[in-house]
Amino acid sequence: MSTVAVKKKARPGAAQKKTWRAIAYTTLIVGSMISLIPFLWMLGTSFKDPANVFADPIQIWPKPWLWSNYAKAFSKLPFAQYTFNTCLITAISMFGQMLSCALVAFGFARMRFPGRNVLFVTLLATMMLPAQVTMIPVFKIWSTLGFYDTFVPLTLPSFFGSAFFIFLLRQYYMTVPHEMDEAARIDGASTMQVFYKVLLPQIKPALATLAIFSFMNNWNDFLGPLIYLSSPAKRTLALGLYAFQGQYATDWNYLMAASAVVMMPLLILFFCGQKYFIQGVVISGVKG
Amino acid sequence: MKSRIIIIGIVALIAVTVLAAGCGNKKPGVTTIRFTSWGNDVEEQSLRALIKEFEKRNPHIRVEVEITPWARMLDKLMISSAGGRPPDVTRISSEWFPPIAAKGLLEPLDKYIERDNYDLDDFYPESIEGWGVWEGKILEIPTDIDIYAMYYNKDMFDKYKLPYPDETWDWDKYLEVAKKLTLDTNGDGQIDQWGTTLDMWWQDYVYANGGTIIGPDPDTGDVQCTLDQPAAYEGLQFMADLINKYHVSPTAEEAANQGTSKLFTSGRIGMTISGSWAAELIYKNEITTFKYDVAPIPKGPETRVSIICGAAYAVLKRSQHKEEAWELVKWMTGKEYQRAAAMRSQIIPSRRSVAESGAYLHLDADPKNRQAFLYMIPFGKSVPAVSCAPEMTQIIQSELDLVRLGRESAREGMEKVKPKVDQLLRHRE
Amino acid sequence: MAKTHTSRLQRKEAIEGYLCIAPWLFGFIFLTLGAVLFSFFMSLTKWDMINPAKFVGFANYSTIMFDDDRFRQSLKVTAIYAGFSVPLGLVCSLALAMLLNLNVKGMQWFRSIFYIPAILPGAAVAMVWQMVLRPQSSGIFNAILGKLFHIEPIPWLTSPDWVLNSFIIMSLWGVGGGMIIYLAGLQGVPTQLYEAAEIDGAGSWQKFRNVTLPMISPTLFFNLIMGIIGSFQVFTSSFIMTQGGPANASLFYVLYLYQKAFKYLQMGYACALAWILFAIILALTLLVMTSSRRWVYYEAELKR
Repeated sequence: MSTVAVKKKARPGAAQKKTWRAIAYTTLIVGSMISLIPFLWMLGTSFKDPANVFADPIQIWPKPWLWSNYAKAFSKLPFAQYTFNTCLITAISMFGQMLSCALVAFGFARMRFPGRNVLFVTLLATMMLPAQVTMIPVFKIWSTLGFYDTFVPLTLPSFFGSAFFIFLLRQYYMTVPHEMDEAARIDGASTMQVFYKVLLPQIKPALATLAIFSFMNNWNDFLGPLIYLSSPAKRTLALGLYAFQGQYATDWNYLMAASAVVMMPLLILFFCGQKYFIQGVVISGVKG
Repeated sequence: MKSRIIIIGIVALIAVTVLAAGCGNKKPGVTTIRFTSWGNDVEEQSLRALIKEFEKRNPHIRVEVEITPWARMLDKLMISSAGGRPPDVTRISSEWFPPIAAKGLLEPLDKYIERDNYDLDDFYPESIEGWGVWEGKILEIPTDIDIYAMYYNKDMFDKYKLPYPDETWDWDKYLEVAKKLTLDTNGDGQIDQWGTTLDMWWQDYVYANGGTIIGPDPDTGDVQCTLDQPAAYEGLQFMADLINKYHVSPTAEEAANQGTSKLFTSGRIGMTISGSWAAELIYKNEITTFKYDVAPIPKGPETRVSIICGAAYAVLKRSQHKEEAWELVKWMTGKEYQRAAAMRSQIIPSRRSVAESGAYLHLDADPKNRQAFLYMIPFGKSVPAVSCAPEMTQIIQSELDLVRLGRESAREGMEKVKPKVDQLLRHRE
Repeated sequence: MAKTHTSRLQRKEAIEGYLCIAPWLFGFIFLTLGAVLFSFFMSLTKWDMINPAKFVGFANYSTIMFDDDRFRQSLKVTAIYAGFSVPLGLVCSLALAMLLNLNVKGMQWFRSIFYIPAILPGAAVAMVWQMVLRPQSSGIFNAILGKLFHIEPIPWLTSPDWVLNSFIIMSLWGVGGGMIIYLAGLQGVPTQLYEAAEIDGAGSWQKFRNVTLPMISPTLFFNLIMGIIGSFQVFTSSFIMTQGGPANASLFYVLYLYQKAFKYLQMGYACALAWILFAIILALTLLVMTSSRRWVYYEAELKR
C-alpha cells in the first residue's frame, strides 16, 4: 500500500530522492558490515590453529582451516550434557509459562471477580520491580526448601506466570469477540472448555510469540544458573561457556567455537520463527 | 491436534528426564561424598587417578569430583554454603581461608587428629600456622606449599653474556640485568623483548621493602591499613617504575595482549616470577625453543621475601558424611598421595619428609635447580589473615591498576586506599 | 429466587476466576510480595545467610550513602553508561528503522542482520566481544582501525578511560530490538499525513519533525523506559569481560550488588543496595512518565 503511495509522488524531487536512497543504501551496507564483524571474527577464530589466533599481522582467513576445533571444544568440557540441561530447563519453562500465562490472562480477560482490576494493576506494577530486589530472598526461599543446585528454582517459577507475558496475552484475548465464548456457554460449555476449546485456538499466534520469547529468555539466562547451580554436571550452556573461559583462558579458538554453537539454536529459531519474533516485539512495543 | 502432540511430547520428555535423574545408581552401603577442587587438565587427571585409588581402598565411599575454575572457587564455596548444599570436602587456597574460616564454614579437625593420631609434626610449620589454624582450632590440613622463585630464560642470558641469577642478587642487580635484556629486537621502534614482568605478588614489593599491609593502630590497638607509610608505598613505587620508568616490564596492555606467561614461554621475557607448579603445568608443554632454570627471588632493600601460600583440604561443617570426608582428607594429605601429586604436577608437598625426598627434588625434568623453591620457604610471608581479605585485596588491586598505569604515584594511590581499607576493617565481622 | 440464582452464578464465576489466576497469585504472594517484604527487613540487618542475622537498623543505608566508595563509583559508572548508551541507542535504532522504512531492496536481510545481535545469549556475546576488543594488534577492531585510518591501537578493555566506551559501543550492537519496534511504529503512520504535509510544502526535516516524531512518540517513550531500566541492570557483560576493572572503571551497579551478595556474603547490605536501585529506577521512570505528557501523542487524542 505504502509502496504505491511512494511511487505516485516520486515526481517532484526525483533527483533528491535518488541521492537519499544512495545515502540510505551506503549507510545500511556499511552498518551491516560493522554489525557482522563480531560474527565473522568469531567464526574465523573458531577455525584457526591456536598458534595463529594472535598472529601478528592479524590473520583474517584461517589457514589451516580446522574443523576439528569444534570437536575438541566439545571434548574439553561436557557440552553435550550442558546442551541437554539447557534444553530441559528451557522446555519445562516454556511449557510452564505457556500454560500458566494463558490461564491467568484468560482469568483477567474473561472472568469477573471482586478485586480483579486492583489485582491486574498490581500485576502491571510488578513489572517495574527490578529482579535484584527479590533475588536474595528468593534464593533463600529455594535453598531453605532444599532446591539449591537443582533445576527447580530455574523452572518452577515459570508455572506461576510472568507479568509481561500475562499482560501480552490478555491484550490478545481482548481482541477476541465475546460472542464466541457466549455462544459456547449457551451450548453448555464449562469455563474450562471455553478456555481450552474456544479461546486458546484464537490466541495461537500470541502463544507462539510467547513460546519464542520464553525460549530466548531461558536459553540466554546467565545470572539464574550462576547463582543456583553448583555441580559442574548441572551447568547450562551459558554457564559452561563461562567455566570454559575460566578453565582454558588462553584457548580462544575453542572458546569461539563453543560460543558459536551456543548461539546457533537462536539463529535457527530466528530464521524459522522470524514472523513471530517480529510480531512479538511489535505487540510488546507498540501496545505497551 | 498437532499442538496437542507437541505438548504431550514435551511432558513425556520432562517425565523421562526427571525419572532418569531420580534413579541414580545408588548401591547399598556406599556413601557418596562430593569433593571440589580447581585444576587444569594435567592436575585434573592426576587428581582423578589418585581419587580412583582412594575409592579402590575404601569401597564403601564414592567420591564425586567437581572441578571448578580457580577464579570461581571462592564464589562457589560461599554461594553453595549460603544455599545450604556445600561440598563435603574441598580444596581451599590459603587466600580464601580467612573469610571461609571466619564464617564458620569448616569443621574443626582437632578431635579427629587426636583420635587417629594423625602425624601433624611432619608438616612444614609455616603451612599449618599459615593456613591450617584459625582461632586456635585446626580447620584444614595443608596439602601443598606455593612459594615463588624466579624463572629465567637461559638462552637469553647466554646470548647477551650475562651471569645467571643466584642468591647474591638484590633489586639493583635485578634491575640492571633487566635493563640489559630489554630490547627492540626487530627495530620497529617498539620494545618487543623485556627483562622481566610484574608476576610477583604486589604484597612482595611491600614486604621486601620492609613495609606492612595492615598493622595495629597505636592509639586504639585495632588493625589499620599501613600502606600509606613510606616503606610500603616505596616498594610499590619500585613495582610501577619497572613498567613506567625503566620500561623493563610489559605494560598492562602489552601483557593483556598475550598474557605474561605466553610472553615468557615464547621467549620474549628474560625473568619471571612464578610458582613451582608453572614448570610442570605450563612450561613443560609450551617452552620448546629454549632452556630455562630457576633461582631465588632477588633480595629487596630490607629483606628477601616471597609470598607463601598454598592449598589445604578441609571438611565442611554442613557435611552429612564427616567420617568419610575425613578419610578422604587423610588420604589426600598422606605421604603416598603427596608423593604422587608432587611427581605429577611438581607442587611442593606440605610434608617435609616428602618435599625433601627424591620424589620432589630429583625429578628428571627442568628446572634443574628446584632446590631454589625450598630455599625460599624460610623467607615466606603470608598475606594478612583478616576475614575481609578478599574484599580488601580487591580495593587495593583496583587502586594499583592506576599506579601500574602511571596515572598516580604509589604514594597518592595508597593514601587514597587507606581510608577505604580502614572503613572495611572497621565494619568487618 | 432469580436473585439468588444470579448471585450463585456470580459466586461460581468469581471462584473460577480466582482459580484461573491462582498460579500467578501464588507466585506473587510468595515470590514477589513476600520476597519484597523479606528483602526490606533483611536490608536492616547484617546477614550472611549462614549465621543468624543481626538487626542494625538503617546502618546499611547510611554506610552506603556516606561511607562506600565503590557504591558511588558503581553509580557513576552506571549513570554514565545509561546517559550515553540510552540516547545513542534511541537515535541509532530510529535512524536504522527510518532507512529500512524507505522500502529498500533486501530490507529483510538488513533487518535480520541488525536484529539478530539483540537476541543472542549475553554470555556468548561477551566472549565474542572480548575477542573483538583485544588490545594492540590482536583485536580485529584495532586491526581495522589501524589499516583504514592509521589509528593507534586502542586499549579497549585495559584502560580505565576506554573500558566504559567499549561497553557503550557493545550496547549499540544490540540496537536491533529497538529498531524493530520503531519499524512497526513507522509502518503504522498513515501515508495521508505525509501527503498532507507535502501539500503544505513541508521539507524532509519538517515532515520528520511534525509528522513522524509525534506519531512514533509512544514507541519512543516505550523504548526510552525499557532502555533506562535495562541499562541500570547491566551485569553479564561486565561480569564476564572485566569483573569491574580496571580500577573499578566498569563496576556496574548490579555487578557490585552481586559481589556484595554472592562473593562476600553481605546479604543484608546487598538487599539495601537493591532497594536503592529500585528507588533510582522508580524515580527515573516516574520522571520520564510525567514528562511524557508533554511530548507523547496518543492516536486517540489526535483523532479528536
